Amino acid sequence: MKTLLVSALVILSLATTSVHAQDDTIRVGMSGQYFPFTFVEQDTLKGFEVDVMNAVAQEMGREVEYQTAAFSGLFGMLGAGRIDTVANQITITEERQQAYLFSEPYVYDGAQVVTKAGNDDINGVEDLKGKTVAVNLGSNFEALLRDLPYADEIDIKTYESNIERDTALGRVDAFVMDRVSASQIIKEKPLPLALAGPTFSQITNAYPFKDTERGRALRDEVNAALKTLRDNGTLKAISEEWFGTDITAP
Amino acid sequence: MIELKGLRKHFGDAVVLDGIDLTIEKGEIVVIIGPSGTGKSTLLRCVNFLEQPTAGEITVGDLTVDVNRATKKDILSLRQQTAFVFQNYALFANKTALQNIAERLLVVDRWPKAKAYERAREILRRIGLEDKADAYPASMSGGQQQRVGIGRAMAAGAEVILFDEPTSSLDPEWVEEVLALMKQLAAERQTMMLVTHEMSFARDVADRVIFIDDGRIVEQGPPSEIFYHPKDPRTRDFLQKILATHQA
Amino acid sequence: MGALDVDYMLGLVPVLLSYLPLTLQLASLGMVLALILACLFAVIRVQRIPVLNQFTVVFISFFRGTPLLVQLFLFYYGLPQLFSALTVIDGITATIMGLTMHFSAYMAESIRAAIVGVDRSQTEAALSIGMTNSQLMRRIILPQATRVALPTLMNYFIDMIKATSLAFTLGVTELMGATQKEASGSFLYFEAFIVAAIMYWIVVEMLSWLQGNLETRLNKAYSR
Repeated sequence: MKTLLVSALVILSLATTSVHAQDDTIRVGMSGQYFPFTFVEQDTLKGFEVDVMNAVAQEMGREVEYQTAAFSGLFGMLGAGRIDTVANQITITEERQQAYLFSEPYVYDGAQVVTKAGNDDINGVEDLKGKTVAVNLGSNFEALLRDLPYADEIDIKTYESNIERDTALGRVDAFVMDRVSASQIIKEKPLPLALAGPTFSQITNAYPFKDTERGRALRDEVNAALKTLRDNGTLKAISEEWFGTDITAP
Repeated sequence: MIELKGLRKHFGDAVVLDGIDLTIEKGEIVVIIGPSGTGKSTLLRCVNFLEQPTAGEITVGDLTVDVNRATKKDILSLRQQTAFVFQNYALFANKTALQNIAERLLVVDRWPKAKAYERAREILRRIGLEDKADAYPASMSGGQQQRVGIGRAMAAGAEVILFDEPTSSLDPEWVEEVLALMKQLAAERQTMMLVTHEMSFARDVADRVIFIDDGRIVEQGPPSEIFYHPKDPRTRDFLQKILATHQA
Repeated sequence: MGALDVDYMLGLVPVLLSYLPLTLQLASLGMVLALILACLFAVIRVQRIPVLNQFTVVFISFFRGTPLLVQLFLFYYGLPQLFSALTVIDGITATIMGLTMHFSAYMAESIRAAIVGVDRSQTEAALSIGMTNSQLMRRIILPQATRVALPTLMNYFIDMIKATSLAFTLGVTELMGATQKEASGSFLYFEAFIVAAIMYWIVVEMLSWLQGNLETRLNKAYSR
């Protein structure tokens, strides 16, 4: 009985183990839940991240294999060697730099407070004192908020997803996200939201890699590809197509 | 042939069987009587190891087992050579009357299906419940259930059938049909060892009556002797009480 | 409050429907394996088989005492970190393993209770005709315990179907993962999730119907 069970498990794992990516394929993780960077429409994965990564991979002469997973799972997958990098607006931080190698930044942005439209109480990050503020679980914005001198007075709520909706519903007073996607959400989606004040911390986003032989090699290839795409205007074109402005340059 | 030598059973400090020596010949019908709580049922249950005896030796057919050295295999073969009829019938609730009888043949004796069910049907005919073949225990009367219980015990041609108060749980209306079936079996000289309070059955059917008190055999002999000329005062006392309750 | 975007919902139906088979596959494989494991554990516990009994107690305690999500992360991210060969455990396998172990721990306890609840006389009758312990279990006790445990086991199955939504954390896009991604593309959360909710609901309703039929059949033996 027991051997039966063990063999069943083994067969199962063999049967369901997808054929592993060829060495010339770059495996890229993303959440598929971060409009307009990575999202799904009618079963098709789309977004700024997808377009940029497709261009990068083409430049590298590699196939891309996208793996979507909840954001909180992405770094685990990277650490376990299940993917080569994450294309999900990963902000370069000191902690992350200790654990991962980063490519050159391909997005320059700032943190942005967003409130329900018509909320005049909050006009910038200094007004968050005593307020309830939503951030995405595992995102860098939580750390940004906690670094504020008055962080103790902010009630920070972390979310797996749907922070825009809870802000629009008034369950939280504001959320913090990068300015670009925040503007995009306000412009395109039927949610009563407004930017509150200027950005408060410059951030640069890049691709993280594991510090292994393969990771270092891929990082170098990606950097070379990014340079080419920057020089020939491809990055700028992709950015303007999605955002109407160039977010790929400082 | 059944032989018990120095059979003892202790529950903790309590001595329930205090050295039972007993030989039962093939075809003999032995009825065990005695006050409640004197180890009559325990004696039956020790013979097929439903209770683990504390000491002694059990012989059934050509298998002799020292109870302290009994292996799993010994116990299984002992059980395969005996059959047990329970006070509360204990039919398999998930099986029909037919399946209850065939179960032992199929699983223990590993008969082919067709042969096992044919035999089970034959037994159902003999116990007069052919029309209940596909009925589940829950839908049968107590009397019918106990007849199936006896049918189950008959199935394997066991060396001895052990009856543990087979009519005590029955409503009075069903007692007769069960006793009739037991008489039929007795007439066929099926070796039987019974614990019962049906004194008239014991008187009419038993070859030998054994009176047990305090875990020992006090007196034994043919029914005419035990019922009409008991030697031991304890036997006399018990019989007086039990006949009084029956007349009352 | 805007009106419901019905066209969007209708367009989403075939997309989400295509992820339903994976959800069902995860749950049914998980259920079958969990049932086998749970029966094994229950029998080990009831018969107090040495060593295995102690192992089972610890196993059940761990998998009941920790959240399913933690277990999934352990299988999927933790183990490969310790043994790199275990990267072959992909998201689907890890999900099925997690569901199996987590739910077998719960199910073992209810099966055990059902086994213990089978009347003692059934055991004695089976032993008296010379059955071995395993014949007793297979032919008499488990069939009767199944009837008692069935409603609870069905509840666990339903729970398991819903728990497959955690698989998206391991990169497995099943019904819930697909819905979340579609919803973040359109921001039509209510529309997207109501479509998914209805799908789960229909599946569970069909199961309840099945359960009713099964119970009628199993109860046949017990009705007067």
